[in-house]
Amino acid sequence: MTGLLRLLKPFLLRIGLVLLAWQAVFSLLLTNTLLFPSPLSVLSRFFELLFGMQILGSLLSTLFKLGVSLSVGSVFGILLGVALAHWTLLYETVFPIADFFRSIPATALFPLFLLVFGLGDVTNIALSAWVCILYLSLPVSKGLRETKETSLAIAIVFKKSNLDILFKVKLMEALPALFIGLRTVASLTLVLIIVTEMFIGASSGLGKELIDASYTYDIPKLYAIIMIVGIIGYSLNLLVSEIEKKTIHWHTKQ
Amino acid sequence: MNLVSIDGLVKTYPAGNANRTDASVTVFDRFAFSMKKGEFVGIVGPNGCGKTTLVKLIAGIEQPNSGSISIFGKSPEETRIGYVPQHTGGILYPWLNAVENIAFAMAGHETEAKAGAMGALSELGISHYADSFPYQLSGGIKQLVSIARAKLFGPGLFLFDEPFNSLDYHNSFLVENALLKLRKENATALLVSHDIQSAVLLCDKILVLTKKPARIAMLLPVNLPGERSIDMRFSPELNIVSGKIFNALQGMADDRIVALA
Repeated sequence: MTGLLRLLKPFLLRIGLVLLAWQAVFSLLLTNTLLFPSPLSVLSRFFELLFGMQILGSLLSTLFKLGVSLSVGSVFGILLGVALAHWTLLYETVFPIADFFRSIPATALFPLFLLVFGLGDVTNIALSAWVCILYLSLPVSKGLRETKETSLAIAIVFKKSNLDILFKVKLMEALPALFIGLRTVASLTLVLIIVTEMFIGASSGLGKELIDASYTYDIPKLYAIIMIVGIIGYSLNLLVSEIEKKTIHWHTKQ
Repeated sequence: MNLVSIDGLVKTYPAGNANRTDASVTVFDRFAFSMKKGEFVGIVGPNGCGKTTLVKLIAGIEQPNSGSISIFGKSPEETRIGYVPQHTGGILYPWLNAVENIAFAMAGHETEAKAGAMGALSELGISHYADSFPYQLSGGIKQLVSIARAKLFGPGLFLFDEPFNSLDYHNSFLVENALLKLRKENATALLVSHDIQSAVLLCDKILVLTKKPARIAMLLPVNLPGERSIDMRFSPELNIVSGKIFNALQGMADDRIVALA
């Protein structure tokens, strides 16, 4: 417990300073107190929503969509990356097209996905998974195609099979590229889920709670939900970062 | 019978390849060479003359345009070859520790492979590095791990591509000792090196290659008295042989020497 407190101390101190500054701004009436409520009212709403189970359904809905999008998107993204790396003709045909699509803001594809999948969670998940696939397949395929000559030469001389070369050499060397893609999709997927929940008539989700709070002028709730979304995003990035450190420690320390 | 026999070897790289030239590049044009079992042969020559290409062709990593390469009467793909690549190319897999890198060379069960790898490390006196990853190892230790991996593969032929490249004196000393040990065990090896003195110390003969298309400028037997050891590095006999090679290389730089054969 002491160790945990010591770990959290600098973090808590910084948060404390931010809250003090926030309270000072509020107390000195330096801004519109309706749109910029006191930290106390926001925090009490935050704990009320979280521990009072008021938004449990929405929280679970968002987390479910996030989980499914990331899982489906990652699996298909990696598989597509392997396929692109393996077939040069496919790579040379698909890569420039995929690169073009990557430049299109995902939100611009809302109407198209809405037409294809209709209203509801499936559209949210489909759009987020699509972005995952796009943002993962390209770095994975590039990473696989750029396996070092010496790494391949060693495997060839030691008579390794093509499967061994793929899994034990090429994929391992492509892991740093994969994690670059994963860090990008982790943040991007959460953004898309929240935004699609806000604007594609979702029946539940933190995005819907945000829009509802803004329509009813429940400003402390608005801030509280933003904090919850922020915690989810931060935790997701932290998780990816920790997995990356443990999986490719050899790359970060080279 | 020759262990390694190369005859009529032709190797050409198309335009725009690694050499970044507009025209195609011929590295070998009907090149021939042979070596016997138990010989340590050194290959020296100017930069870009094809030394590494020759090693890759013998290892089966690249294919010749025409000609034949046989080892024990078989093709390189059919032969077990102990390949120790250039240090600058990343000679160990960074995601595997030392013992796992060596075990990679072995087929079969992981436990047996790791046991064999530990044995190989102990033979070289570096078993305490077993759990270390390449980023934790010096250049010399990485080379020793690479040599242990090649040895564990149980090859009939070793190929060393610039094993002393980028190594300081101490690490070069470690690698030289390991190669001397292999020499004492009657290993057959081809050693590419810019370090002429190390090549002379370790080898029974030295092949001096010309610029591309590479030919043999000189085939120099190395007759040093007694058993080879590190102490011989400063012997007069070694310096005489090194001097002949240096003159040959200088002659090539001055375009005085074209080819012997």
